Amino acid sequence: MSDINIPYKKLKGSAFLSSNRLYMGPDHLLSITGNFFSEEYLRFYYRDIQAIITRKTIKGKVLNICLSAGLILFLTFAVLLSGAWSIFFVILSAVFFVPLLINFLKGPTSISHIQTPIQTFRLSAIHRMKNAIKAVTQLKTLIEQTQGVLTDDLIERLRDRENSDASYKNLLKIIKHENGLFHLIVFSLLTFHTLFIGVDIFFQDLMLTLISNVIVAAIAILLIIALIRQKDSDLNKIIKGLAWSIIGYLCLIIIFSNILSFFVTIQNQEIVNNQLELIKRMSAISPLSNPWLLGISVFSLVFSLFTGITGIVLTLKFRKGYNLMQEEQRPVEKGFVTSGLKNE
Amino acid sequence: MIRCTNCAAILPDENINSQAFNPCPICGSLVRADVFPAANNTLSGGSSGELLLMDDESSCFYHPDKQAVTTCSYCGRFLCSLCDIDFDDQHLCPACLDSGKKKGVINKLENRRILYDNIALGLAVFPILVLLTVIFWVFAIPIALITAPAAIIVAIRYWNRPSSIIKRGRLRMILALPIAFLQIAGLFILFYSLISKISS
Repeated sequence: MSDINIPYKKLKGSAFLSSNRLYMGPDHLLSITGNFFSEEYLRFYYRDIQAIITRKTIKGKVLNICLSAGLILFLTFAVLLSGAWSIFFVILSAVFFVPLLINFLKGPTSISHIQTPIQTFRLSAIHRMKNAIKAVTQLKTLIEQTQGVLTDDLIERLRDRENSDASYKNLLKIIKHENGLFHLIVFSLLTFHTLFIGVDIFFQDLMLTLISNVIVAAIAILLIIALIRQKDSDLNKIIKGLAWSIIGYLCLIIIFSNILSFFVTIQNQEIVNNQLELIKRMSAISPLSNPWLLGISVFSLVFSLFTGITGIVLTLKFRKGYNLMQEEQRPVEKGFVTSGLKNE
Repeated sequence: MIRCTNCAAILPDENINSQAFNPCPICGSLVRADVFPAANNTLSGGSSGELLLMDDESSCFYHPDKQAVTTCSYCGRFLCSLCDIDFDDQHLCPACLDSGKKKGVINKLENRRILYDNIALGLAVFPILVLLTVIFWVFAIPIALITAPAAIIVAIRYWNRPSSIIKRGRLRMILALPIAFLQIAGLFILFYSLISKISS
């Protein structure tokens, strides 16, 4: 097999521990994808590279939110409990804290693509904005040495070609308008549910527990509808993110409820087949007498209140903004089409 | 056409060569596009080759009824515009391109390599990793019986085979051999002592 010694230099910014690595050759960019036993190579010649497109993603933020939620939860338990359990939860908190710190220090995440006449290839070795900028700066020098610099008249020619080509419109993702009504109801119910959580800490009643469960069930159903409606819609990204975070919260609540019912059943084996009695026993437990329950209640209270109020404010702002826009009748710009506008 | 990689909308001038991340007009994602003159190039359509009109014109080796426009840089055969493959500033025929790739003669067509040095080192180290696990340490001995000789065979058989396209030394092969030999020596000592105990 030929082994001509082509001098390759690692591209700055490409990830250290990644199945995909990038190297700069004399006239091409080499992408190596491999496992421990074999490697596959893709070459992108500098003369063929049309563009490098980098887009910021929310992956880093989502990871920060998930790790922060875990950290807060376990820290709450560490504070409320004592002895060995407290130490255990401190260690668990550290397990969440370290990756959170690393993720925060690495900066926002991004996704980069290299565009050639034939394909648009994702550079999976680059997934942080800082690294993407470093990599693009290096590559730009080499590409411009081969192709030259893109001048204003070349940009004009590019625009003329884009405007004359009608086929691009078929590729536009259809972005529909979502009025956020279901989101508003979900956030309102969540905020209302905060009252029940707060009351439950000090006063235990079966009827309150049952109503609270009905509200949670209603939130879950309406949330699913909201999530379906928000897909590919023009709804604010933060509102969409809040909706997803509520799903995570509901999953946590379901897990804790099941763990609690398991322990109650173990302690009261005579009520194994009696669901109503189980709910009565569970609703009678005071969070003040049990640090675990108190921790979960405090977490639920804070989360519901914060998410509910933030969601309501943002959704109302979004709806108001859209109504204002409709009143002003903003003209549709050439080439940027949105469809599926709904009349409220 | 330079598009947003999220919603495929054509990016406006603010996003092109601006050195900054600006929102996409459709999806709002922060996008930065560094565009080069090749963006104006279009893919040239292939040619099916011109028919041979005169008897004194050269014909393509693969299409006797088509006019030859060039010769293959490797085998010298006449090629029509359909058969001509313009690669790396050379003209190749399909057969030379195919054989060049299979035999590894055309370095730039190589798109896969097996890393025998990694395989040798992996085989040598694997029993040690199994030994370090608390639960499965007992399996390390039968595993070493297979992997240690296999590591030696791979290291010797593929010693001269190039590893990664990114030049690296033979360190992995060199490390694999003594590790594997030590394991074999250890196994030999173990079996010898077992046999001695049984016979006494």
